[in-house]
Amino acid sequence: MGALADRWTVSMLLGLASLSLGFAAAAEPSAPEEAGGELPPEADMPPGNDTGGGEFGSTEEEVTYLREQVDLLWEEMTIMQEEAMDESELDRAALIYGFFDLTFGKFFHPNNSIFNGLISDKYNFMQQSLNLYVFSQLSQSTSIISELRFTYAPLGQENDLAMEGLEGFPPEEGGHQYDRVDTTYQNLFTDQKFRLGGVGIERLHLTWQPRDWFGIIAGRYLTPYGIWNIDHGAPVLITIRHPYHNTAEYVPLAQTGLQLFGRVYPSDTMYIQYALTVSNGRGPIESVLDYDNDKGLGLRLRWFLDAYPVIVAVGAYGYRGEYTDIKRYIAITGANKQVPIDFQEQVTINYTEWVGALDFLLEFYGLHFQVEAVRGLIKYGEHREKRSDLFSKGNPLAMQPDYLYFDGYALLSYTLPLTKWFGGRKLTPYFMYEFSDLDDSVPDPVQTHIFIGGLNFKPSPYVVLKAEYNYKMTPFYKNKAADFQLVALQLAVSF
Amino acid sequence: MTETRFFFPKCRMFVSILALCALPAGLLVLPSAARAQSPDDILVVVNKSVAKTQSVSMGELRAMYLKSRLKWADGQKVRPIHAFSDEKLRLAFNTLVLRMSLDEERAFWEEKKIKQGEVKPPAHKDPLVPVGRDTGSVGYVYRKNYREGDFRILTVIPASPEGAVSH
Repeated sequence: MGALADRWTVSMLLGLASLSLGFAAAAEPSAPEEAGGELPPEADMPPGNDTGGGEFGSTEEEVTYLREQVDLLWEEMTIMQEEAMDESELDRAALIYGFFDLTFGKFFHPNNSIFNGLISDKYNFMQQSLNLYVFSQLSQSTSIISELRFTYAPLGQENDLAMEGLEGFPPEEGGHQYDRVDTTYQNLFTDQKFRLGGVGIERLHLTWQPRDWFGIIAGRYLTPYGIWNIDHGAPVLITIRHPYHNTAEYVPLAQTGLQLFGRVYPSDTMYIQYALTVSNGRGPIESVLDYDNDKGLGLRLRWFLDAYPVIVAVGAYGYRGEYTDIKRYIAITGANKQVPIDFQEQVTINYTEWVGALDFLLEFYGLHFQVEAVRGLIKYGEHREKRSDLFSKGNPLAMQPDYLYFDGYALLSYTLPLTKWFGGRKLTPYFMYEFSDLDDSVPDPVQTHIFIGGLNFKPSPYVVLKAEYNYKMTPFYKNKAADFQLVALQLAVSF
Repeated sequence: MTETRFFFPKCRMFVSILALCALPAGLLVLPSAARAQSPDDILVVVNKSVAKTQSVSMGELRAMYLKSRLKWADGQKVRPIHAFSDEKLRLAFNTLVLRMSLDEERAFWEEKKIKQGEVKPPAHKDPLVPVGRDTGSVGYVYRKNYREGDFRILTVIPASPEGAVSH
């Protein structure tokens, strides 16, 4: 009860301090007497303020001082809350945090580009999502984490992005008009309109880890491969654009199933990490249902050295899984059976995939160098899918052959030693090169080179500003018909 | 026997020389031993539930406070506790053990919570309170602020003669 009362007292003090902060920020510089009248006792005066009258040099100083007071009160309140709770309550306290980003950019492509009409070349503000985490430590060894992705999707989603659209347009000449999703909803009583959005579950799992060297994850988890997929949040990522193996999901980005993991420490500064993944693998609806019995299996190994000031890590992930898509229908079987209908299931696409991924990380003072490479093989079973119209050379019956794909990038960045000018704020120029080969079965390989350069600025640990230039080059297409450039600015915030 | 006579006197002489050398060396060591008892030493304390056989190196302590090492040898969860009210102590601990400034540490945890869902250890104005209360917890205080309780000293980070903490 006493602790509760203390908490209320501190909350009220906190509120008063916040109000003072708001007034101080809003008000013009006030008379010294006024400022002095509102200040706490002399013992709490800011350094250098020894006039005894509570004078501040400027409103900015006063605001800074009050901010510090608010921070201190927050800390006090946290302590009181902790002291008021017993151990088990403290463990079970849920934490909520997250991040979001806002990107402003424009694509530039030549007039003869195959992307005309496909990729918007207008200046755009794009807000991708709000990722919200909820974390709770249930016991010494057990915790849960969920990462929910709130998006505006499917607003604006174009559902029929068939490549037929590239030929025979306009629609009256046989082309296909894209079917755009509109999620606008009108309230029947107020007539107010608003647009619905969607929520995706990025990860949601229980973790039980009785030892450092052994733990189990059950649920939907991020596939433990590479560097990008683990980092995955805009405030953490150095660049704006993601590598192609990530956007094309060469390795499933998340899987639903089990993961055994752990790490061992051969020395104080080194550990070896492993993870064994067993899941539904990849599929049309694999997060809820697998259409085959062949589970996706993966193995992750990573060696990590943290010998200040050097960090070196080398990792690998191998994955094998089966993709199966089906269609179901009801067949009328005649009146001679007790139930004259029959449920049929037919496999439409089936393939097995083998994927290998390697990653390397080196950090040395402000230098950061990372490399990732992913190579995969798609081997079809009896049910192949139709070949993309881009590569079928006009044959509508062409089927996709088995193929290999590859994507790799190298990213180099350097945080400039500008602490004298910027304090703790970090200014990091970066450069990235990426190479992709989408499909080696295409007679003329579709190989892409991407060059990225940019600046990453962190004015605080919670805010990142990025400015980036991308140039994508596909030499296979003549006259740069598949080249494009992207200029983008991004604000990423974590909270 | 001849060999013994031959070597033994030399050995005795060698030991004598060593002893003479050890005297000034010992005088040099004595002030160091005194420094080890400085009130500005940082004592790393653990809850009594942590096995008495448990020891940590600086690298392991760093890994615990950065949550890359989550368990004690007996499987208990490591619960690191920071000191926040004593800025000098916190800075010294960060510099010596974590090897990062407070700003760098804040940035580290912002990244780690997004990447791995790990959040920074709590801070307490008197770390001995949660360390004495919560099983598996570890904290640190200046020797001058240490008192008896349900915890024990795991390791000592000695203070330098100038009062600044160093290895």
